[in-house]
Amino acid sequence: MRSSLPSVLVAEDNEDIRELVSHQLRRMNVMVLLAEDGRRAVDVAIAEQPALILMDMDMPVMSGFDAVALLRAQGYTGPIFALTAYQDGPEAERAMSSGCNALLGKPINSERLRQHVTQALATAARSNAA
Amino acid sequence: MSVLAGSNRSAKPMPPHIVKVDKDLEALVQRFLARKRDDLQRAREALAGGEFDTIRRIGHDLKGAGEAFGFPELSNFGAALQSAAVAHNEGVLIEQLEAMEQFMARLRITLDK
Repeated sequence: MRSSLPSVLVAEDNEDIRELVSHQLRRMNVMVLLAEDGRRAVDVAIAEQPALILMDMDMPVMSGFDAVALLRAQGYTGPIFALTAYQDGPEAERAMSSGCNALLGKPINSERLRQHVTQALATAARSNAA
Repeated sequence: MSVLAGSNRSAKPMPPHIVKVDKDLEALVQRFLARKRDDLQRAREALAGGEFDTIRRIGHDLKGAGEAFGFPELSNFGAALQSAAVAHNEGVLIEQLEAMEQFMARLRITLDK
């Protein structure tokens, strides 16, 4: 049986960041799904249809850019936030043109993460209820 | 360039570097620091074997995570290791690994709440 909690996929190859973000999300009463490369992120997202994806752009096997583009091509319509050190410039533009909805800057700030995730999950819940 | 404390044993010991951590994050931070000590050792071994890409990756991960855990100094070490590894600059790598080891030895965690 699926959990009634909203789920968030954290796609991040850095174990430290993965653990920190997961911890913060669980404190928000969110079910956390994990992937350590872009290919795995696509597989998990298609299978589990998370309410939100936090996607590192610089990952092995398949980059976050390619994973986001593939997810959009395969019909995933939920919000995807890019985890990136670049808040502007070519990398940021590439993330948005790949299909990300927003940039969540690194280093991860717990308060900013909480605000973005809360808002995205609330919006997703309203869309589902409509 | 400052003299490395590790090569100047008669120098006055550096004071502890105290970092306040939220009680809720204590275990997470301790695991993080334990992994970074392991990474430090891995980087030394990689340097001895000329495996610069291993050091580049260790530096990259450290740069990305240090500040998020409350240790901006570790992010700075990560950035320095990453760029020195890309440049195959053994001298800078030795210096940075020594400085990082000393910094970590000075770290003291206290609980914020």
